[in-house]
Amino acid sequence: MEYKRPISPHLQVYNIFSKELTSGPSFLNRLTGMALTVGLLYVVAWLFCMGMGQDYYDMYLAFITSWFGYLSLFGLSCAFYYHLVNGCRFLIFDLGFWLTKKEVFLTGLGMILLTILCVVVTWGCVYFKYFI
Amino acid sequence: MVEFALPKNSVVLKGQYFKATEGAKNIRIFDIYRFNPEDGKNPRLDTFEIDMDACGPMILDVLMKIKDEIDTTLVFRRSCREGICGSCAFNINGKNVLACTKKIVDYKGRIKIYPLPHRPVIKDLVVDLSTPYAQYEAVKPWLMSETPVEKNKERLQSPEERAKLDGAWECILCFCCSTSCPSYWWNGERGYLGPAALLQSYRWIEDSRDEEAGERLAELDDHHRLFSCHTIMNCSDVCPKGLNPGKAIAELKKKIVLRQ
Repeated sequence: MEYKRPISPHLQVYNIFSKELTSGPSFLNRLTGMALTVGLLYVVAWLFCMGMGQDYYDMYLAFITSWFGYLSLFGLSCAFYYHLVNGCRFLIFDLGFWLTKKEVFLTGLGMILLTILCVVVTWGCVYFKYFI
Repeated sequence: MVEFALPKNSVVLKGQYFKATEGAKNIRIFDIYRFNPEDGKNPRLDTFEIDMDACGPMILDVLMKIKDEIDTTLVFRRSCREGICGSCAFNINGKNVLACTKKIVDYKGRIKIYPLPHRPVIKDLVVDLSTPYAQYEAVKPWLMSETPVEKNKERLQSPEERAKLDGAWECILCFCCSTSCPSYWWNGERGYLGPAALLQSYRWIEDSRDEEAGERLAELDDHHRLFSCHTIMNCSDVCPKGLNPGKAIAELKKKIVLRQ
């Protein structure tokens, strides 16, 4: 009989989202990346409806200005800024900078604050019809 | 495909409860992962009430007390009890640490002790580390040099050259880092060498006396071996010796890009 050893618990017990901001932000980076892939469908649908003429475009506008449309746009904007800012942080990691424990934490904190700032400014512009 | 859940035979079930002796005032509760390969059952989580007034200050003291006084069947690795042998590495309250250098008072509430994550379990807290050891061997952790040395002469190194090795040679191979790395969980068996082995690779590549740095880098230049590292940085977070494998891996990646 082939004997199969059990695997010790990993995700089940590991403190992935620990306050040191190591694996947590990295994990979220993957999740937001996946969300953005789904979000790409919104862009495709937008272009498609634009090409199909006035009726389709009005339909798309009705969808995107509904509560569900706004909610998903808000979610996607959060994912977009998070992925962008944290992606830049990772690029800087790959250049060999900011790789001490303390710097990883501080840049992680800065990254989160910058993401929130970007989201707030973006939706502030939408709300006050700035640039539009 | 990445497996997030545990296979059926690895799911942890509820275990026994060991009450503290009568009259114990200062009690702390420890949940400890148990697995016995001979009883054909799933792993379980046993709970121990420990009287802190009759126990040493470190987590390892608790494990020894349990083995000595409460349940002699508890199995775990330990040797030096001063953080230099790297035997007593466990996952305690969600982070990999050495039980001998971690104080009990550093934790609040219940303390959960699991074996190092995502390894085959041999018994209780002892896991199979043959893969990490084989990966350590794969980076050829010894001096490789073509230049012959004169008789009765050493291979000399300037203090500056020697200083480059600080932060790399101190590794005790406890594998806290490798087993903390999510990428190592999913890619360790597919070829990713893991932070412990890569830090040692870096140590020999940086060594001024070693002449095979190019060969070593060529060996590492692989989708999995080195580049399965995604700078998650759990390794540097948990290293009980305060080393920085994550930084060493980033330097290795840079070296590979720069030599092209």
